[in-house]
Amino acid sequence: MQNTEQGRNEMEILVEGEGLAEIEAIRIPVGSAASEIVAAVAVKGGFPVEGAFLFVEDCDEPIDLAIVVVNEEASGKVHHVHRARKIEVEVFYQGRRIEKQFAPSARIQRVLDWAAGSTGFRIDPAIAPEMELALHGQTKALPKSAHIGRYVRHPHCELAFDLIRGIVPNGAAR
Amino acid sequence: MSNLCPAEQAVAADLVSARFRIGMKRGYWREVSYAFPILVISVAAVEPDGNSSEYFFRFELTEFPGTAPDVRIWDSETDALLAFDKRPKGSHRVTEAFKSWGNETVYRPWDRAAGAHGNWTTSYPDLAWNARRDLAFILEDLYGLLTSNVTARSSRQAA
Repeated sequence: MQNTEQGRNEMEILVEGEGLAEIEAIRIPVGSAASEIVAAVAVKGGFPVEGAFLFVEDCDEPIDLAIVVVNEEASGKVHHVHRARKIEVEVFYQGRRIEKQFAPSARIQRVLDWAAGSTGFRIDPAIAPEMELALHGQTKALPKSAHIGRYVRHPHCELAFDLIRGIVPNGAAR
Repeated sequence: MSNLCPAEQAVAADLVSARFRIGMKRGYWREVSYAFPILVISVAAVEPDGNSSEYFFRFELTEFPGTAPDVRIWDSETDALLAFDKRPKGSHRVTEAFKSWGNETVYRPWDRAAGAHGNWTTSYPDLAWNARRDLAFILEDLYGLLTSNVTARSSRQAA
């Protein structure tokens, strides 16, 4: 919590969301309702606040927008604002395809754990740490802490990934 | 007017940037010490047995960001290069990144010495250093490597 030049107390909230390329920090007045977070992200993301949901990272259900944001609880948590409540995720690997619903606030790591695990492609634990997710048809590994919602723009609510083996640079050029 | 040299100003700006602070707030890394041009940062890790740990990295930042940082895995107690048997364990990707090699820096394309050999700048553009990168770019890559054992554990527990 900090005093601003305007003399009021504010708190910093970490946010991801629809239309945001990466995680950002926003400031809202202490005692604000959760809807203030939605309003701030909607402006950054360029979409209307009506119908937008607010999630906490990796939580499947949105939170009540009327609750008051408590600094001690919000600090360190990453929030996510998106107009889609669920995202239909599909992952491709060696000619096979699996699918599952996730909230937009799910981290890439969470989807990766599912895709590599027993209900996914059952990747050998010896090579599982080398696996990454890339957007379907691409080869660039996505950051594991990123929320999947940043890659989906309403009204779309589908997202396709490829499970790929991460790059291991060595002395010889590829 | 600032008495800081351009590289020192660039480092100072990076250390207060949103991307750097967010990494600290999430517990991904923390600043241990800084006296330009040397910055020591601790990065959180997950060991193969699932236990949490951390590793220290020494950044030499002369002419930053035009020149890539020289990054070494560091022993904070002895203030020297971390002994090979104490380095991170995990997949081939992890051991390869922290192996002992000619220049003793972290073996990733964004490192000053590693990036300058093997045509890595053109071979691995997504991981290579350029002047538009920031310290958080390197730290995110290190954090991803050092916590990659999480995926192995998910796979193993599920198997």
